[in-house]
Amino acid sequence: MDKLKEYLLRHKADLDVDSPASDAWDSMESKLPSPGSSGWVVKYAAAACVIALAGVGLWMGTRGHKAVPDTVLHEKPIPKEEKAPSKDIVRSDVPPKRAPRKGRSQKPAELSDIIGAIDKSYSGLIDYQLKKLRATPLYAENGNYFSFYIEQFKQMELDEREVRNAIKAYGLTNQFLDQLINVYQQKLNLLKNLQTEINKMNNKVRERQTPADGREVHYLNI
Amino acid sequence: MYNICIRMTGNPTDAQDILQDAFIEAFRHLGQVKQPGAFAGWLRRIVINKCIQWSKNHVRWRSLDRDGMVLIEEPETVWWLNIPLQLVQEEIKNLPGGCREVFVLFALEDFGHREIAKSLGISESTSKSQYQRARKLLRERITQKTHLDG
Repeated sequence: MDKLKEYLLRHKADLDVDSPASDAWDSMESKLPSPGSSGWVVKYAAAACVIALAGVGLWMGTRGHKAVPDTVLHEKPIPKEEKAPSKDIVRSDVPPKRAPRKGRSQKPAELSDIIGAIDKSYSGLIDYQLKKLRATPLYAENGNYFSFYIEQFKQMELDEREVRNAIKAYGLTNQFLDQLINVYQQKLNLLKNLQTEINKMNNKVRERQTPADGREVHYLNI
Repeated sequence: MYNICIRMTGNPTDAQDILQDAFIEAFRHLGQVKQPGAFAGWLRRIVINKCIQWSKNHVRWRSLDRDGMVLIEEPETVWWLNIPLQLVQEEIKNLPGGCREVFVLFALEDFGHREIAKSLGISESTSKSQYQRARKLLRERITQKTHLDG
C-alpha cells in the first residue's frame, strides 16, 4: 500500500480538527423534519381510516345487512318477433315469488322516508322521459308499432307494485330496496331505448322523404 | 463527518451545506438502519456520496497526461513524518479542486482508483494522475511552510 495513505489512515482521527460553525447545528436542526410533522400525521390518519372502516364493517355485519341480495336478476333476451322494433331490450323478473326471510325491518317512518327519497329521485327522471316520449312525433309508424315497449313498461309497473306490496308486508330490507331500484332503472332504460328507436326511425323517414311529401304524424300513448 | 466534507470541498460553506443535506437525507431514511452498530458507517456513506455528488457538479476534470504534465513517481521518502497533522489537514483543504477530491477519497476514505473513477465519472488513469499531483503539491507546500516556519 502507498505509505502516505497508510500513515494518513492510521492517523485519520488526528486529522479531524475542523468543526462547523456554532450556528450550523441550529440551522440544520430547523431544517430537519420534526417528528410531529406530516409523515406521522399521514400515518395516524391512515390508521384511523382503517379502524373506522373496520368499525363500519362490523356495525353493518351486526345489523344483519346483506351485501348481496338473495335473488339474482335474470336477464333474458326478447323473443324475436316479426315486427319487434329492437333486439337488445332486456327485462328482469323482479317481483319476489317467495316471502323473503324476515330480517330486521326498518321502522315505518324510516321506511317511508327511504322510499319517498327513491321515489322522488327516480320518478322525476321517469316522468321527464315519459313527457319527452309523448311529445315526440312518430313519422314512420303509429303507436301500435311500439306496443312491445308499452307492454314491457306496464309489466314493470306491475313489478314495482309487487315490490311495494312486499315491502309493506315484510318490511324494508336491502333486498327489496335493491329490487325497487332495479325496477326504476329498468324503466328508465326501456324508455331511453324507446326514445332512441323512435329517433332512429324518424331520421330514416326524414332522409328518404322530400319536404314536399306529406307525413302522417302519430304520438305515443304511454 | 464535517471533516470529510471540508476536506472534499475545501471550504466551510459548501461543507456545511453538504453536511446539512446529508443529515436531512439520513433523518428521512433512518428506518433503513436495521442495526444500531451500522449507523455510523451508513451515515458516513451518505456524507461521502453527497461529497462525490458535489464534486461531480463543481469540478471540471481534465487529464493531466493529455496536457503534457507527465507525473513521474518520486522515490518513496517518508517526508510526512514529524509534520503536524493539523498542517496536513490544512494543506489538503488548500489543494486545487480535482486532485483534492481524489486524494481524500483515495488516501483517507480508502477508495481504490477504479472506485474513484466510477464515482466521479473519470478515467482510472486520471484518478491516478490526480492523486500523484496532489501528493506532489502537498509535499511542496508543506515543505515550504515548514522551512518558512523554521
